Amino acid sequence: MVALKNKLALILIIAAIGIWLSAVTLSGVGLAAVPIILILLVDQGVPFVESGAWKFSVSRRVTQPKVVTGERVLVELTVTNEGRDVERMVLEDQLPSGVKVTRGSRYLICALKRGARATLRYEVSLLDPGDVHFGECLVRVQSLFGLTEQRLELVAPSTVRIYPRLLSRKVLTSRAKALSFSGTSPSRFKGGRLEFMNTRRHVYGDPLRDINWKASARLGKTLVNEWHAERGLDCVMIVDLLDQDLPKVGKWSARTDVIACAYELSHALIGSGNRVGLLVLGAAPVKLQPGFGSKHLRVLLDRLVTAQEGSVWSARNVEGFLETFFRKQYRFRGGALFFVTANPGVDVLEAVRSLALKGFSCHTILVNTLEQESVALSELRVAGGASLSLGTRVARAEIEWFESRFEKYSKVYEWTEDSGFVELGGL
Amino acid sequence: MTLARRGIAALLYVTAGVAAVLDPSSVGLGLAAGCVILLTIGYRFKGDFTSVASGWLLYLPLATIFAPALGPFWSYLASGTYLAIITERLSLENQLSLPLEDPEGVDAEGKRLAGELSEYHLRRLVTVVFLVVAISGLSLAASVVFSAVTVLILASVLLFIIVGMYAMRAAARGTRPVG
Repeated sequence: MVALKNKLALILIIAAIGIWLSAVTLSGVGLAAVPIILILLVDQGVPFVESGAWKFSVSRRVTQPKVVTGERVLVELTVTNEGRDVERMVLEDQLPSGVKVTRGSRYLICALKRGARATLRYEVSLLDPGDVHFGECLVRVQSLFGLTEQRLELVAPSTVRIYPRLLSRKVLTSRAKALSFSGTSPSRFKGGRLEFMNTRRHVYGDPLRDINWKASARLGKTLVNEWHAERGLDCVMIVDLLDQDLPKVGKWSARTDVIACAYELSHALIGSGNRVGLLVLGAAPVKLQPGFGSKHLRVLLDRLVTAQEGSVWSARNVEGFLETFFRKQYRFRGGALFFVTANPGVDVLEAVRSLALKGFSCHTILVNTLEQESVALSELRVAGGASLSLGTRVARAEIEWFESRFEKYSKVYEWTEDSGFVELGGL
Repeated sequence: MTLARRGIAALLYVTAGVAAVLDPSSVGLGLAAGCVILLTIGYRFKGDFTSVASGWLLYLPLATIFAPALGPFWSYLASGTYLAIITERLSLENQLSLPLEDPEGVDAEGKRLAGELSEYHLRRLVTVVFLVVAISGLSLAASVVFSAVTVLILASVLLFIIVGMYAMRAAARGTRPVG
């Protein structure tokens, strides 16, 4: 449907008032109507003549469908005119929430002849892990002077998945070792590569990578290296993405940090030969059986970044989930449970207590986001100065209270973006 | 493009200043002040309506300024044409500034397309000016034969008919004004 712009209404009113004044005062004041009417005529062409319908097709391309947080993505939206000639057109892309344009603009203004195409290009920065769905765009077909307009909503879907960046630590050579985890289940790195023991004659089935080529050449027989057998741990990470446990200020949310922490933890555990499973509390119960290796880590990461925060599946259901989905671990009380939470509530505390009393080895990772929260509060000018300092102290005291409670039933670690895992105490 | 927008806005500011100086009546000063306020708002928020309204507030003061040179009759036409062209151009530049607000980020294609549209728009404005001059010439020729009042009445009737035609066209399509 063609819509008339306010600008048109304004100049028509000016013209009408001028003509009326001219008639009343018998002066030339109404001559303003002459250029106005001429603009209208030139803009609209010959009245009552239809020259076909507007028809457009759009397609979208993103340079990388998978990126890590903070990485920039180039978005290209191409519109093709399949209808009549367009004198003036505004293409406006609708941005999904949490997406920030870093270069260019999401508007394209041009004239587009029949069969021609134009491409809108802009760069966005994606900050929060998860799937970002690009979709709708708006085409506003205008007359040349912008007096009339027709709006068309078109869809060009595309998805970008954002992964958390794996933070590299300078001090700790192995984060898992720093957490001193060791287990009873055989590691994937059985006969693994952490400590060299001896060499022995090659037997059928030994992997090629274990052959000690230098020693074989020297002694004239095929020798393979032997390594200490590593023992892995069956771990289940319970990631708390419950609404009430995720600090949020404006557009900032602790979800990004919780996911980054869980990813770093799982990377460290799997890298040390442990089997890692996943359970996410939030909008839907995301679960993954414990498994080894980089392929499993990729699957785990995909589940993590697509997990949505919510309040349906709470910490009260953790034991039920373990019993239902992780039967082996539940029955034998095997492995260890890792609770990853930013702002633990009483429910999480109760879950840790209950599971620890039933014989599980529990670990609590408290994701400290107080600094980011303070920055977000300052940016929004919600708080500052003394009130911000007081709020931080109160929040810190609350976390310390929870730490002291968690320490009775589990080992407690604090995770920050800058310094990684720091052991606070506990069992 | 952004420079052109700034230049046109500056031209309107200067026009408002000149109008305030040369037409120091309280009405003239009030209209010039209103123009400056609306223009600033329109420039800041890139609003079509406020930009156009700000320009047209200068219609009467500007006609008063032109009157000694062009006469009381044609000064209105000159003032109206000047403001219609300037405000229309400012309105387009406001819209063009949306994609061109980040000069570093604009790719060559986007800039070229905006430039083409700007050029096309300018050509059409020149057409409007040409038509205004042509009509003025014809009217002058007609006024030799008929009295000026008759020409005025004739033009008014003609304009009413055209406005009526467009109103009928809009009503037939079920259109409505939007912002």
